[in-house]
Amino acid sequence: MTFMERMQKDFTTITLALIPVAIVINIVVGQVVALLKIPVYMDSVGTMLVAILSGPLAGAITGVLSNLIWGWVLPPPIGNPVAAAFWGTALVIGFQTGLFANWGWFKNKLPQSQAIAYVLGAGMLLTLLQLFLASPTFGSADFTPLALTGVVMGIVLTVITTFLTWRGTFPPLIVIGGVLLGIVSAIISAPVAAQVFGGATGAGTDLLVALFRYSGLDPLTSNLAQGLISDPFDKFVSYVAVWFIVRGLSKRLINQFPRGENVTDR
Amino acid sequence: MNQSFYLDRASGWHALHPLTKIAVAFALSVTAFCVRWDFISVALFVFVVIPFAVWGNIWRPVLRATFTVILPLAVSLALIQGFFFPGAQDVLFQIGPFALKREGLEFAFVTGTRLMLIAGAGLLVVYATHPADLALALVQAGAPYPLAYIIVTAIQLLPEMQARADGILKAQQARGLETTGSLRVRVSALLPLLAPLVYGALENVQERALALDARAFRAPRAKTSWRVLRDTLAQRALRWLLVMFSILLIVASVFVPLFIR
Amino acid sequence: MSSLAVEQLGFQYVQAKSDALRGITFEVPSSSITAIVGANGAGKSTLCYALAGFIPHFFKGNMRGAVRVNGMDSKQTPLAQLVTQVGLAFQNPFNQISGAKLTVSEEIAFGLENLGVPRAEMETRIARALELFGLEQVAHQSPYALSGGQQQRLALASIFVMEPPVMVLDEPTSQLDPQGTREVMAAIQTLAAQGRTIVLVEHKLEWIAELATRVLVLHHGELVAQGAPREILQCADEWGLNETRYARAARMARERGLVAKDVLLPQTLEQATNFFRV
Ligand SMILES: Nc1ncnc2c1ncn2[C@@H]1O[C@H](COP(=O)(O)OP(=O)(O)OP(=O)(O)O)[C@@H](O)[C@H]1O
Ligand SMILES: [Mg+2]
Repeated sequence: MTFMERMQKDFTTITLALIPVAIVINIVVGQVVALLKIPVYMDSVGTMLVAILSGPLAGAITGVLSNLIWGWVLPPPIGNPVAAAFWGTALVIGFQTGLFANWGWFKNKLPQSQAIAYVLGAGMLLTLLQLFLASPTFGSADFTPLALTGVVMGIVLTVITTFLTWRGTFPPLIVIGGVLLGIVSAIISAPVAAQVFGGATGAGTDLLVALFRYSGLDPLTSNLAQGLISDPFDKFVSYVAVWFIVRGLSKRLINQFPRGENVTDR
Repeated sequence: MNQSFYLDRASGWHALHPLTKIAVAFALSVTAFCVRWDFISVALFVFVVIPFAVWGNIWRPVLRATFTVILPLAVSLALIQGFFFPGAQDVLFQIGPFALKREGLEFAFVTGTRLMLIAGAGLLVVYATHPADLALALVQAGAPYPLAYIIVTAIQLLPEMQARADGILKAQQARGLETTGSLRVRVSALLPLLAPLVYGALENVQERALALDARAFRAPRAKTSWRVLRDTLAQRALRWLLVMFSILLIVASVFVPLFIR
Repeated sequence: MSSLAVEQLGFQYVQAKSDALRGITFEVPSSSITAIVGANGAGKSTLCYALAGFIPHFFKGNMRGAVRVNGMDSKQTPLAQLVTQVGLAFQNPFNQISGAKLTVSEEIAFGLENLGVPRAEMETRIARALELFGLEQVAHQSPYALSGGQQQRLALASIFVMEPPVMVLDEPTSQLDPQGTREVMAAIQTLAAQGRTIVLVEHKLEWIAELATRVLVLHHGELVAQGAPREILQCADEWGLNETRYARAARMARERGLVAKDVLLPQTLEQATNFFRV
């Protein structure tokens, strides 16, 4: 299938009708989460939804438009031009999620033992990553508190997700998808944060950046390290949220989307 | 029911074609990035952005919004760069183990004022341009037709959904749902809050799509427009000049040492 | 002359266990009001989608038979072309607002923009639509600021302005109060008087008896009866429909032996007056 044909297949009218709703979901869910002071961003749930139901291209476009509208069309206190600069990250979130969905990662399909092995693996990868980031090997200083927090978070998350996988609550591959996406989006965000914003975005995560800079890391690596700490958790939590949302949609509605089969069994 | 920056004022700046305003903002931003003089952004802000904002009778909101966005950023920047700028030598003063250094503050100043200029220039456009006109201008300039639909619809849906979020939050609180307290409590409050919100919005998507198709939204014809954008030859020329200027500046800043700080 | 012809139409939604429509054949005569009645889930909306081309062009599923719109096979004709022949309006007035427009006039213009109608022509057509549907007063308001009845009339105006010879209306009054219902029904009557062909799905049989020239009855996805309203509505309760209050009163009178058994039950106020005069 050529690129144009794929565009035509994915960009049906129902996809186009979903995109503005998804953008608004991104913004409002992000706001509610911030209001409840839950330490994740959760600002891409709508983008992920489009990616799953209408494919990677639709997801990517939703991500880009979402950040541009958030940044440049809506007034403060909602709108924030900082968001606009991160359109590249939003694009990747949409595209990557669409690919994962096309690969069937949002369906519950693995045998239990294999599922648990995958989830344990992803959790351990995450924990090791946190350990590495906070270790003297990566930086030059030694922050035990940070290392401990990251590692404890990693272990807690691993235990919870393994338990839920054992119970069959959600498809195991979304844990891996979330962690992978988090790593990728950290890599993409870091240069923007470092180059455009001089390392600061005015958000709470700037504290982490300062910490890494204090340890002697260069600007880019500091932002990368901060992203690698925040993003995998955020994307994983978002994936679980979006999976619950999709599961609650009526099959009839899902079937009318171009990639409905990503979440239903044909 | 529509929430956007746009402030309806009868000014000459407002009356310009959206693309003209965008070209001005674009040229300003490019200049701020390419010219390596520490005070270029401040100069452009004071001598271009502010006069234009006064012309458009929107200087108050432009300044207010610029500073709400930039202030937290600037504080973060000053601290991070001031204390931890790589290779900085010139210590201004020492707090415990931390040394505030001049080079870092300079870098923070340049970056911070540059962001201030970009924010200001952008706000200058969005406060004086109706979102529907902006969308129409983009489509007439060759952007895909559904883009206009997506932008305007998102703007109209947002306040409605926020009102709903607010209502659900209050209703859940009235029913005794804790939204403050430990992290666990707040996380478990999330689902009953978000579920009705998200499903409420998604329920309507199919009917909206039907309504769009019933109005020939996807007709493969050249579209016409009920809204009219005023454009002039002078503005077209100005836009062309601004774009040329920006391109030249970008090229020059790569090759000409004049621009190197 | 008929503008819509349906031949052996059947449809099964994707992944659905059973058919939503089966073996439906009928014709819609021009310049008439054809009513479709049936219980919940009988397939009325599905039939409307098929008449307007949304089946097969929008809904995924398996369609059999054919729908001919002015002689064109709906399967072979692109949706954007079909909607200029058959306009579709439906239940929820709120969801029919495109969302992309900021005033009532602009909203009505939306379909014309999509069809590439020149602006000068738009102006006269929009003015006519505003007048016909009594929306002149609110022409510059936001579509979201209107009452339900006004929004539904806006939806009808937005379809009307594209000038399709046939308009299919799926329960246009089900979310409206009696006042809003009267407003919309009056507009429908005007349309029919102007020579439009109307297909109307409606639960309130009083209105159907009043307005319709023909009635089709759907039952479990099949066309079980068609004919003139008064005859067809005699056995409304057999198909799970709520009979009109006139018919109910007359039936009670008949059961008590107050009137003769062989007279058709009345369905409108006028018929009831005559009925009880006998
Ligand atoms: N998108 C869909 N996917 C699968 N089945 C559907 C879908 N839409 C409707 N159906 C089924 O098709 C049948 C006909 O539905 P339809 O909506 O046409 O009925 P209706 O007569 O309009 O009912 P109502 O009075 O409730 O509007 C029903 O059994 C319904 O459950
Ligand atoms: Mg129906």
